[in-house]
Amino acid sequence: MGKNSLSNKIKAYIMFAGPAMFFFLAVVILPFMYGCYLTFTNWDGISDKKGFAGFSNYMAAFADKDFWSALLLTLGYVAISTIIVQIVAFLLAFFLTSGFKGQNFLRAGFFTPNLIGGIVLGFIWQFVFSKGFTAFGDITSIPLFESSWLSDPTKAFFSLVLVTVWQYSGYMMLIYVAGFVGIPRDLIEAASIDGCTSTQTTHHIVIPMMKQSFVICTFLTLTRCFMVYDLNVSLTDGGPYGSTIMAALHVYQKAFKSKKYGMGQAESLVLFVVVAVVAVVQYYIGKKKEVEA
Amino acid sequence: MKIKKLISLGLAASMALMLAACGEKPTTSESSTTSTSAENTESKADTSKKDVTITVLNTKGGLEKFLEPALENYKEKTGVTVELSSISEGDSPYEAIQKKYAAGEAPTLAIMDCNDIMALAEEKALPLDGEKWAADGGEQYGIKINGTLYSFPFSLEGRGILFNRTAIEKTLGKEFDETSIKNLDDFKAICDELVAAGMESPVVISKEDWSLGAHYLGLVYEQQDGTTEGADALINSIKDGSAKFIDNARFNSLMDTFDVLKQYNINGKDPLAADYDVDNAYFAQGDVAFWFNGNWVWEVVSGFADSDCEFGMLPVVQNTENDKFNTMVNAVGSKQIMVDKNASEEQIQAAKDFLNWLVYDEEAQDVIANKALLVPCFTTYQPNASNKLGIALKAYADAGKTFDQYNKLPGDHWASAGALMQKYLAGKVTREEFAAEYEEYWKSQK
Repeated sequence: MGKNSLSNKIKAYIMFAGPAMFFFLAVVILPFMYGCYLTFTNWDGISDKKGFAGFSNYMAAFADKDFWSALLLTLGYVAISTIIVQIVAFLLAFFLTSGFKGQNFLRAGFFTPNLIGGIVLGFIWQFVFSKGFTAFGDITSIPLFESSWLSDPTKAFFSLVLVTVWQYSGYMMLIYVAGFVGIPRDLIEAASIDGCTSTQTTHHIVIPMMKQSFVICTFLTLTRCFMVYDLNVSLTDGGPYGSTIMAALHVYQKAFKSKKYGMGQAESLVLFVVVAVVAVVQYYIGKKKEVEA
Repeated sequence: MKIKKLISLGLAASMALMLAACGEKPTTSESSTTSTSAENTESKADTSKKDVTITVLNTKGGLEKFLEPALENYKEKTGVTVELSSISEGDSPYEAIQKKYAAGEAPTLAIMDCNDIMALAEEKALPLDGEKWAADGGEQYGIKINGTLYSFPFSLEGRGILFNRTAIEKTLGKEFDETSIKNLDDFKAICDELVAAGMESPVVISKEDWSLGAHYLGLVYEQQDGTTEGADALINSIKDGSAKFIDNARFNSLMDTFDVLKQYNINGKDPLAADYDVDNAYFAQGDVAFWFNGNWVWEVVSGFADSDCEFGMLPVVQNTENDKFNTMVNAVGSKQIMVDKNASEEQIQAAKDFLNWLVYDEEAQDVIANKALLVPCFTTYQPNASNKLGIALKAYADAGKTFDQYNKLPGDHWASAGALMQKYLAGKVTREEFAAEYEEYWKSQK
């Protein structure tokens, strides 16, 4: 009956993790299970009756070509955004740990885009893309900027990428900064004593030590980009003419605009499985390659 | 140490204040209510007339600022508290009411779109035949399903080719008589005249999917033969493949008119970069003469336009022979109010009284016609004299020259078909391709 008895452990757990656990259950787990139940009904979102529909929603979800093309588009968007965010964030972090005056201020500055919520972000950038860029294009006559980026499917796609990079680089930069700062000084010193040039130090010491940060940052960017919704709605709303509908937006439209609630729910479950698989695989591969100091 | 304590206390207090501020809903008129549904069920046991509370879900953007002051007076007069909750601009009424039903807070009265009433009425709405206002215009513009009147028509809205009379007359230097525009050739002629006189692009087309998908494409069904059955027949034949849009005369004549509108579009260089607010300004300030839209834009346009500027509405003219639709505009009770049939008896009575108030009480009439600048559906009063577009519309209605809206378009039609129209507007597809893709949309609908 010591301090480590089971009942004491349970008490401690409930006291510290209890409230968070409760909210997680109520807000995430229960709706998830309710959603799973709904995928087997043919509910239209309003009526009082929910008829049993078997697996028809899943069959419809798999047959829905728009869903798969939205998912493919999202995959492309995730891949490109994640890579660019990591590069930009890493470079920013690298420069902002080299110890010059004002670097703390700059770190805060680069982080602020992340604080702006997705909807506001979308509206601001909508203005930039349709009015700001075109004004710039009129002055400089660069063909890339002459028409609004939001009225062409490819350019609209890249406008989403651009805003995502702008939003997340600051956040990831902070994690990389923490990683840089966490590299033990004595390793760097030992390397310079042994005659390493700074490139060799970067290549053989800094980057391996940063692998953990890479894994975390990639995981975070990946999952956030997969679930993109508010930026999608406010910046392009799936336009022009439905060419930038990402997976989450498609699911929302299916459930609430087309009133096919069960099918939308089934699609969102598929999305969940895809994201979970990708994220977990990425995490495990990354973990294996991690190096402990 | 003391300073640290003070600072941390201050921070904690300001965080708590922020949370409290975030939690308040700014749109309800009663700030002291904690829960609405709990109160509603409690008032069932209430025997006195006072303390009856009814809730209204408002999906007409901007109405609440005009209605709420009147509701305070309503409470004093009748003792009934009316709680208004509104959605924001661009949100879907159907989604809003879904949320309410899911939360167990079915609103006593809901101001919805026609399609929503069609979807919800039989299950959720109280039949309203026999109400006094039904005879005064309610029957004509309210929604009937299988012969039963299920909703109260809130405001009359119609659409066509709006025109800025003052801009036309100033540019051409002569009077403009809209009845002289009898078909598409006449329309093209006047556009050419305007261009020659200096108005480079006399038309503005908005890129919004609801404008193109619901309003413009809706005409294809509404003008087949003017009946719901005719429209149903067309859709069924498209679905089973026995008809094609490209062979349909009405489709082609409407697309011909659309092509002419495109030709003179001020946003022609990059049609999908059009900004709705800028379109309003172009029209109101006379940079363009014609805009395919409806009388509801008056609220914004009147803000931009000079007070002596005259406006009117033209039918969507087409090059068709003996076509009655070349002299008619679409008009419909655009927002419909339904009463929750599962509300308590007192609430239902209070709701019916409220609807009567909207039609017969002077203060309500003032709010609707003069403040919110809406066009009434009832014969009891006229729109405000300054509402130029509203007056133009009521003139068509009083002359019997309006046709009804087709209410059976699927919920995602305006977004999906609108997206296809946008492609056509931007010149990315030919008319044949557009027609084929549009048929695919219908075939994928169950």
